[in-house]
Amino acid sequence: MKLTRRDVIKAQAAATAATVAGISLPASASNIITSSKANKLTWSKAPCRFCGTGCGISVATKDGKVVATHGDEKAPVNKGLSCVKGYFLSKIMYGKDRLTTPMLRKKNGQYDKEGEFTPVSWDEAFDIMEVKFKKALKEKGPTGIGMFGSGQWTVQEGYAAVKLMKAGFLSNNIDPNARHCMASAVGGFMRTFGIDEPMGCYDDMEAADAFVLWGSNMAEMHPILWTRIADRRLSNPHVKVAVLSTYEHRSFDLADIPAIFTPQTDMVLLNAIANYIIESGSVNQDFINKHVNFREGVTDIGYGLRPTHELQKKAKNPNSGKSTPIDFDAFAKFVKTYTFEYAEKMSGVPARTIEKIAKLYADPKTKVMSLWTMGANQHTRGVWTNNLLYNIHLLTGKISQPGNSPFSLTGQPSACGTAREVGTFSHRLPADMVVKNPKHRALSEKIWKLPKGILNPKPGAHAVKQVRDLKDSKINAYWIQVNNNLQAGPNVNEEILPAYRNPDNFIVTSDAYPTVTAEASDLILPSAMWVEKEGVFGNAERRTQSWYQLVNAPGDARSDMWQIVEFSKRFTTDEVWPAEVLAANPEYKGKSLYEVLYKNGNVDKFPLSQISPDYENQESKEHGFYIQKGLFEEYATFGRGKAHDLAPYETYHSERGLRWPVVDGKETKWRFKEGSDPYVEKGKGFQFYGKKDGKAIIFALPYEAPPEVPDEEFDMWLCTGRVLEHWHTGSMTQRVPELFKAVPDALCYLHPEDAKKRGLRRGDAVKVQSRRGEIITRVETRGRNKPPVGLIFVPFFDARQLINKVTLDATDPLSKQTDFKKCAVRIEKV
Amino acid sequence: MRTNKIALDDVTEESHISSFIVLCRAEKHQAVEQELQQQADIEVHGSDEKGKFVVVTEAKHQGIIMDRIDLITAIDGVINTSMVYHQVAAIDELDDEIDQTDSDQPIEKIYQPQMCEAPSDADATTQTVQ
Amino acid sequence: MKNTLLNKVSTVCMTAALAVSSIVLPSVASAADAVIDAEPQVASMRGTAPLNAELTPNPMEKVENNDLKRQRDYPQQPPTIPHDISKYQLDKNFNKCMDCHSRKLADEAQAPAVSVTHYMNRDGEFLGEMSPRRYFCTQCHVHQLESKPMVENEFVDVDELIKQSNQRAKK
Repeated sequence: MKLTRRDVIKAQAAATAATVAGISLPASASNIITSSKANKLTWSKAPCRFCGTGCGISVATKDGKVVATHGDEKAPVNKGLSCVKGYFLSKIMYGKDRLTTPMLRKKNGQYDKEGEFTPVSWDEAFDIMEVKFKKALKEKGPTGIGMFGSGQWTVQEGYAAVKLMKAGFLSNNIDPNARHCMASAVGGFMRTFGIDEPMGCYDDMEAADAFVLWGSNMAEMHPILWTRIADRRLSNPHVKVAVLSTYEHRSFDLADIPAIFTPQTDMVLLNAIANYIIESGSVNQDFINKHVNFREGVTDIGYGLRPTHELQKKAKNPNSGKSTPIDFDAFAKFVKTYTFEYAEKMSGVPARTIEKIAKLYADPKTKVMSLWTMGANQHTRGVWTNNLLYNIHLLTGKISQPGNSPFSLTGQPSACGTAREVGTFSHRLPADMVVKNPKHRALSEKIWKLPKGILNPKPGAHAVKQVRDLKDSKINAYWIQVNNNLQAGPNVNEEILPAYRNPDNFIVTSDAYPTVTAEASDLILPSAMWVEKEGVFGNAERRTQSWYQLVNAPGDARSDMWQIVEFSKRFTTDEVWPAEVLAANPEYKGKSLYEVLYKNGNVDKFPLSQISPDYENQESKEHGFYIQKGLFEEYATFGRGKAHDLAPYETYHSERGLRWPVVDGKETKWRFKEGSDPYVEKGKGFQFYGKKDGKAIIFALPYEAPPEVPDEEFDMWLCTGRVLEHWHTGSMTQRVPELFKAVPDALCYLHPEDAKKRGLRRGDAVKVQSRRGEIITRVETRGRNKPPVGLIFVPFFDARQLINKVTLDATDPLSKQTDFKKCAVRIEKV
Repeated sequence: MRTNKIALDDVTEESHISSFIVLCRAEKHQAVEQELQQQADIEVHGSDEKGKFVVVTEAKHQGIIMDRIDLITAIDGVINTSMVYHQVAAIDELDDEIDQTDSDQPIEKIYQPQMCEAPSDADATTQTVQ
Repeated sequence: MKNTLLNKVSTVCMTAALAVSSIVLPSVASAADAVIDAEPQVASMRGTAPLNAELTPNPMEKVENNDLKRQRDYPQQPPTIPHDISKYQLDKNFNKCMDCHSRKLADEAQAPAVSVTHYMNRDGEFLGEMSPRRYFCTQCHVHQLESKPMVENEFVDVDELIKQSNQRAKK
């Protein structure tokens, strides 16, 4: 049969229409398609690279290039949809300035902190890294080095990094940028439930009668989940959407109950709702009797600032998460002062609006889903705010059932899967375990086949402290992977820039693109990204999703995992482990960390023959074993049988993800509820098994003021955040022309009255100044964000306008998560 | 009213190939099929008993395709005609023979999406395959 | 990529020069100052401003408003919006976009009607009207400003790849 190009195009046109219509064409017609190799695309699945929603993406490749991406129709999360970023995923890898070779600052052929970036080989790059890390370890011990990773690491990469730092270098100075993002959510879960991550799932969005957004702008930050809420709301007139925020944004377009509150007063509103639930007799008495304990938390806990800071010195109980048991009556008395009138006075939200929202929670017939992300987490009382959110769901028993769901959304693609579950936090081990707990360390040592008692019991430096330690020359060798902290971290001027450029320090940054963090480093390593490697992400609804390597990375770019594992070959146990441990365990003597950590009989257990024959897997071929599977399976050992069960690795290649715990091949949609969670014992109804007695905790916690509020000198609130079209610091999306041209520059969103008062007009250049630094930007009074008088919003995606020079490095004292949502600034015409 | 200007690039020697889904009332299925078969510029590639047809057409200009959509929709019993796929090709390449030696080594489709995000109507400048 | 010193001083204001008494400046030892004060060597999205300095941002560009269709990279890609939508109402009460882009009104407005997928619900079933999950157009369709991208993108579309592979085959 002779075929022309016309025949092929027509057949494809027909086949496309047929699949849309669900019609199967006669075999003769579809044969034409498969007979043309030239026109053939290979379609594969991968989770999206951007936010924590975890959309499934169909990726088309041809001749080693990604040529198309769109929402995967079979993916339960997004069912064929994708936001504008997802549709342009195909272009994120093809920015002209992709890093393709390591680059070292050099002068006269030698490394020099003041030198110019010069291309070097991987060997030379690792040589200087080895020297610098060994020097720091020798001089300062395990706290002299540090690693800053990300919720954008794949599960395997994060796990390999944890092993290298915690089991290899015996240093707990590893933290993910999820610290800036999800740490308060983790703190909230651990305090209230004793186990991390949401009990519900996205299916709640098709079941709820009311949605309440607490400081979240889902329309821009979780657009695909917002399509599910819009679908539910617009298809069902009885459904209500309440949107609470410190400024008006796109999510208000769907709001039945809009509310603008004064920054930090979400805590007042939450306590007022708890009070209303009690006073109106809406408490689910049976539920709280059986499943809830009450406790009162310690107050006046400081702001996570340097201990020398005045505000920190003033705090009575700095960094204390202590609490004492109370009963229901004491709790009722505690929240009694939070009347609607008081809440209106504090928050600026009219009492009748608060009442409307409170009634959604109080009415036993209304299934409520609460949703929050950075508004609640990036908060100097973030953990408390998470606790207070759970309070109102626990008081009413509206939890763990379809549509009744307090839901903590996630910012990064694998903040849950990697940063949290793998335990890349400075205080954590895999599967919610912590370094402080001797039993947890012992179990980890056993799974990792390490000498007993070797793991470091002292929590390491968290994100903000790592920067302080770098500035103070306590950490001298530092490795940054998959994040852009000089743009995303707080107080760049006073802390991060001087920390990275401190002459005592050697800073390594692994990235796909030359970010400002790379610019501030001494060595840049080129990274493979997304489908240039095989990996696994875990999204916000506990869904674990995998993908194959679909294309090769350009030039010498290599995955972060390869970089970590290769670097481990440069160290022997004799160099980094205490002599007494080696004397007691001579079989480890003289071994490289590579042998101890990755050729340990677990990670190298699966031969190359198990790799998919249809896909490339450069890393495994180089190491000689199926390393992604080995790391995943060793890691999965931690959670199996402990309510974190993952399926066998291969399963994830065929499924569109599964929500853990996966028990007997079945995923879990609603945890803690009998019938839907296999870990709940029969007859219990609900069981919050993260706590020994199976009871969740309702916390009595007051409103406490933020560390910095507008005054005469700095008279405006500053809130920072993202925009729909760019992801985080824009290092990927700003390189896609369509996304760049959609939102090319950061702007200062401002109320027209505030503009008028200062003689400003739309488009004027202004300085945004705080006590710490300033940027120059332009005024926008008509854009998508409409702040109230007294507040400005500036997004942080723009490398030319580093708004984090202005922000304050105050954190939640418990979670150590930064508050990027409020500090005091002033604006001035340039 | 906004007018739809067409980019100058569009006015070249090209050919537009489109596919539609034609939805008709199930009881009119046979009559509609006959009617469609009689139209010279339209190829029916498949159908189902619920009243859906897959139709392919080729024209020198997208406007002609729009006219054909109107004609089809005017057929008695047709509820709706939706364009799914539109490709523009250089007219002198359309009769090129495709090398058959490729056909012995099909690339394995590991994953086949059930449907594709279709281009919108009258979109003249896409030129790709799915 | 380096500007002359003179040029740099004229376009870039150092934080120090703008400092007011209440702003604490970073105190960085001298060895690293040279690097911080210099124009970025690799950070291509930063423009010419040293990390500790501020550029005056580009003026706010206008929205491209010519109604000319733009080339897409593949058929599944949502078309970008070739006109200004800044005054459009798009909320739960009203969707201005559908005034022209709905199937019924597209003829009159001569605007491209939304594609068939917009009539499908989550389960892939056709609805009589546009699916509510697709209601907020701006989640996928974005306008374009007249700004020039700072970094080129080397994405190659499939048609070009096929051409290349056909050419290879002919040789």
